[in-house]
Amino acid sequence: MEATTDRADDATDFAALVADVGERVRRALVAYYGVEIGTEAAADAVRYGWEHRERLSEMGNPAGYLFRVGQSRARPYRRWSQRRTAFPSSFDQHVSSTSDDGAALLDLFAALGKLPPRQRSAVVLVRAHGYSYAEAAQILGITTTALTNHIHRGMARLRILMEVER
Amino acid sequence: MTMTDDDLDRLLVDAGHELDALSLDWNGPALTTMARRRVRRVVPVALAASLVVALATGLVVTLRDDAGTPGATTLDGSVPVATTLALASATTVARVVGPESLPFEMIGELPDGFEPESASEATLQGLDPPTMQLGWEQAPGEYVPILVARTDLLARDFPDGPVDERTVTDDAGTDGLISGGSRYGSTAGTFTRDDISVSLLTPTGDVPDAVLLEIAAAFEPDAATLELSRELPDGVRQFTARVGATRVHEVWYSGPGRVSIAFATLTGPVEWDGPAPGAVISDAAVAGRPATQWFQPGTGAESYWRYWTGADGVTRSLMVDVPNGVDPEPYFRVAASIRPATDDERALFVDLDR
Repeated sequence: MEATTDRADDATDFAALVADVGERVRRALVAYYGVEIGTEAAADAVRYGWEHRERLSEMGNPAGYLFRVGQSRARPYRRWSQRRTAFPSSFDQHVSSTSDDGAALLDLFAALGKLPPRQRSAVVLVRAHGYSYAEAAQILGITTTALTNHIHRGMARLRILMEVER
Repeated sequence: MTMTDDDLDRLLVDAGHELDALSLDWNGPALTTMARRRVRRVVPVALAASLVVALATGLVVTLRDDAGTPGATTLDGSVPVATTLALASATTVARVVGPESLPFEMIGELPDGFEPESASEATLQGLDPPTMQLGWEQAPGEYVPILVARTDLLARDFPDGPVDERTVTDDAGTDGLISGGSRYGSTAGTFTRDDISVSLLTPTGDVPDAVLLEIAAAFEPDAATLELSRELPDGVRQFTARVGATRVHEVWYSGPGRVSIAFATLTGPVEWDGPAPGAVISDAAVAGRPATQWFQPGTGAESYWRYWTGADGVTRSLMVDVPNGVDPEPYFRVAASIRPATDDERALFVDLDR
């Protein structure tokens, strides 16, 4: 009975880890590496976090740490899959381009794919997912000032690529 | 239809939803299969897991100049030791640089405040003709080109193909990439070395001495002491793991961030203490792939590869450098004897996947 309770507690704790930290890490890695590699790397990072949950629980910035773990995990995926720039791979198979919004989304993904990964992840975390500057900087493990610069430059490039009228 | 800032903002929010949906639905067969395979191969020992992680992220080279001093083999040879070590600690750099006989060159000075992690992140660019370029992100979006390497020449100099194609699998089954390593023998010294470096991701960017000792022990179970032997600028520290009076491992630690640790300097008179358990030097394997003399111009050193097949049927390789004219055999023997003592400490040798 005790073992069953322990397993139930483990499952609850794991779900909490995924919901709390995992989502931020996944979003950051997907923004950085694209859907395929980013998702795989995030899964690896969460698994690593679960295996080291005691140490993780003592950290002030577990999401930032797991993001770095995910980056480490992404490298072999990138080599295995022979992809150098993986953002945003295969989204066009899923996004409908028949509507204006669908076509615009495809354009936006293509434009995001032309941004350096740091700028892209900063822009996506803040402008697409709505994280605060402080939250996004913490996830990416950079200063708020650096994040601000990334967003500023990334948005400037996006406006050019998307031909935004100012 | 023209797009406004508001349109772009709305579109970005839609993109966020779309990325969420795509990533949550993602079930790519190839990568997922790899991930599952890796999950099954989790090594239940923290130390071994760290090393597997390190192998998966690529091996790191330490470069030394003609005097045997750690540093880049650059055209002008003027790169400071500490910055070069920092440079070498970037895994992507190691992949590009490969053996130090490669014709790479510095095309700019390392700026003050150079951060190896910045260099390793995203500034490696594939160019045409095949050239790899390393830059440093001096400020967000501002890249300073530092290092270039001709990858076609890299392929030429590396007999088994481009470094990028030399995927290796460690004994735990985790795929990784071997850089070819940096092997160097000094014209003046009598040492030889088989440098194998790992990079280690730590929560704080700092690696406690005890962990370094643990890692050293994985390579050398008899390591008796670990002592700080030198402290270099920029936080680089050299530790020395001593085994008796004859064998010394250097452990280079450059923090914070990713850590580069180089192992297995062999010094002094060495004695053959038998093959490693389970590692049988196979004449057939050696005959099939004879030890290759690989002369590195200008270094005064010769590098030798030796292949052998272990009791598990896996062919492994060792490489040693010796000053010109020196018999490499004793060093092969010692190198062969340095191996993990248990199945969980298997990071020293990598299987060549070719």
